[in-house]
Amino acid sequence: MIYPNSEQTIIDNLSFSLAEGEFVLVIGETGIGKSSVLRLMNGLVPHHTGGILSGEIEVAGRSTRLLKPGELSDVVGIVGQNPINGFVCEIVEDEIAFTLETLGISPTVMRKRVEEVLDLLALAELRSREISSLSGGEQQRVAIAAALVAQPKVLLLDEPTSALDPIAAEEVLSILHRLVSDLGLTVVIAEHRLERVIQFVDRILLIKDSGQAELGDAREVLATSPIAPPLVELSRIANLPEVALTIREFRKAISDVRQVEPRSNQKTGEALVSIKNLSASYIDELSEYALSNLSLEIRSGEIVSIMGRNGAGKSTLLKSLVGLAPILSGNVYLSGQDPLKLSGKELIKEVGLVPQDASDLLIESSVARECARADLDNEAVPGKTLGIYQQLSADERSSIHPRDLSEGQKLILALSIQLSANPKVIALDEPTRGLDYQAKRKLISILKSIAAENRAVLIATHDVELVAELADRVVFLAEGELISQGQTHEALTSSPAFAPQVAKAFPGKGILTVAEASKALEK
Amino acid sequence: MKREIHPTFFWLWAFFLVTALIRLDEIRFNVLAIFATVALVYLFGLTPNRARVFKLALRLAVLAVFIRMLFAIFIGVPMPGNTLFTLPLIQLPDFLVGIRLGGDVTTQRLSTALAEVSLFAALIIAFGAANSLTTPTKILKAIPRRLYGVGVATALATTLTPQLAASVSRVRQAQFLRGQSATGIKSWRRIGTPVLEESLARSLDLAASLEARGYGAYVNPSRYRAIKWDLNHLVALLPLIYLALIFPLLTIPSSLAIFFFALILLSPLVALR
Repeated sequence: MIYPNSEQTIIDNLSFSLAEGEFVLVIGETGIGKSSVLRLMNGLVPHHTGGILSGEIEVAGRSTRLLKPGELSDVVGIVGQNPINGFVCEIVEDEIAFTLETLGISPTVMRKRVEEVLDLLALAELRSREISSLSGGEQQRVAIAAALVAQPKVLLLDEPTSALDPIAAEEVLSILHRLVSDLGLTVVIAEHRLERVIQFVDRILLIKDSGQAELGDAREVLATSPIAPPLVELSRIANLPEVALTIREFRKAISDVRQVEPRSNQKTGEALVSIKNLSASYIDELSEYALSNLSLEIRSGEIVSIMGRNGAGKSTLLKSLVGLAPILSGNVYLSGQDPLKLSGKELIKEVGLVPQDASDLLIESSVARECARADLDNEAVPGKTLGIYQQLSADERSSIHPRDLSEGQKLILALSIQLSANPKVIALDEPTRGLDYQAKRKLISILKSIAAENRAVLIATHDVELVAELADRVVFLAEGELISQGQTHEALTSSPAFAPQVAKAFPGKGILTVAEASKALEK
Repeated sequence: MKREIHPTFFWLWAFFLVTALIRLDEIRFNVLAIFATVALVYLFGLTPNRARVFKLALRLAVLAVFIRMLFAIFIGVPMPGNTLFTLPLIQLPDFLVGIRLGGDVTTQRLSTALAEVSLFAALIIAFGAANSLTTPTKILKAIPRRLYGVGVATALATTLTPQLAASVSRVRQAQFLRGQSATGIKSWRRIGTPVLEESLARSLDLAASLEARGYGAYVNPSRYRAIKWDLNHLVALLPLIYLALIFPLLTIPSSLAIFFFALILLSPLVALR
């Protein structure tokens, strides 16, 4: 498979067949063609995108060569990366029915099928709600329902949990698991966060750099795969005869492990940010967020992560630092100054905030121009931003369009732009969305080096693995209130929903990261 | 279960209401119509998104009243009647004959303006109500089967506009994070580029989703839970049609007329809820 205007072969000489009722995971680095493989299976590639395809793809006996994706819609359903972009109607029920309307199913059959799917995905309560008012997990379920209602044999999902908090992700994945075991549906899923899905998966399709791919039993592929979730890394370190796919398997296989001294990282730098009894309310196009009576202090050199469900007020808290959240009462001080009284230029020297969509910051047509503009905006020495970017990303291509960078590189570019203003605090909103393990590791080392320069780093995230590796302190928010805060170790091991995989594998041992675990296993 | 209302009902209702008001031509009917419409909207219930649409209509109506009354006080032709108060007269150049700034403000002048603007406000609110009680998607689905494709395309275009507004405000915030105050013509490039790129990406996603779901691939699309015009719809609408087209209401005593009018306005409540 080769895309137009490109010489790169995305997939090279790949052959496989999937049986009914299989749960298959597609893994590979970012931008390597996971989405392409999914879209090849329902004909969107190359019918929708253009390109050259050689070989033959058949789904339920029908060839994607001869039929358009629409004509395959009764055998293959697809849920894209951002389901909200693919919605056609405003109301949940109408959206689900839309699929059937286009297929020309008779109204009585349609009514019955919609009811069935509503029950199957536990959406009956939400049937007459507006889609835009639903949470991320609920929207994902609506998208799955809209694909399932056509009663396809195969369901394709592109990163269904990357934008979800751990609880919502669990909800979606367990429903998928039930569909596979109860209905005999074949599910093919592309996902970065392997730790969430491997326990459900039968086989894995690993796509390698050169467009080569291998399909095999989940255990076998993971035993040698360069992309591996923490549990698999642990199994390798512990030299288990067989890679463990679930926490239970791992716990059974491993004998007693020493207790580990919790790392102590009480930082005593000067307070850079202090928030006192802050209440804020914030209403945007889609939903309402609020903070109530929140007090927090962040010191220099500290990495603090803010956790909580989607909509708990994490983003609002970050926005309040730059004066973008309407404050009802209480105060925010940045090194003793009120952010609302600072001008734009003064503000960026205090806080550099990288928003959830890092690409919102990017406007120019090449990395070099983007960096030059940042130098100008931030009154930095010409070349400073580009220097930071190349040092952080180890990427020399400066004439490339920012849109063509991988998610990880885009994030680093946005971060470099903010860093060149030399802010005392760096804040990131959901930085690991769409990042693979490699990009995540890089981000972790970058953020650690930023904190080592005596800046404070603040991250709003629900990626517990990131927090376990990185944060000194964790702050939990729920419904806009600060419900607990503490050192990463205590905070993460005490909450079952937000405990990382490694902590679950060694209950009560105070081990959070793979590195700590390997030390504990050595001795 | 709540009765499903045909998507065209409230549009027809608004149309006949405005026609009736024009024929009745009295402030009190207009004011009553406004209150009744607002009551109907809240009794039939709105989703948060739709409530925003209706609030916009209300705000527009208030603005219209405000501007018209401002004009009535400051500008206009002299009119007889009781003088309420007198504003200083401002001399205008000769070629602006007939236009006067300031001068006597009479009750006659205010009441004429009020009659005009109350009708206008009722019109805005009646159609605002129709627009917010039926989503554009629904009304377009009610059009004939042959035009189904056109209907869906139009509905999609209308739902994309709010998304565009949302992404503009998000990008504007992002530019603020780069220390740029986003005002003036120059900022449009900084905001326009990411927004356009995003909406392009979104349209591609949407097109892929439509294609994957078989849109346009089948010749005979069907209708999910089609809502039909029934007797109740007719019962709810007929008094208003009668009022608008046949019976000018003025032949009965005026104190009874307003009572009668109120009953007519509430007929959808009785027949459709």
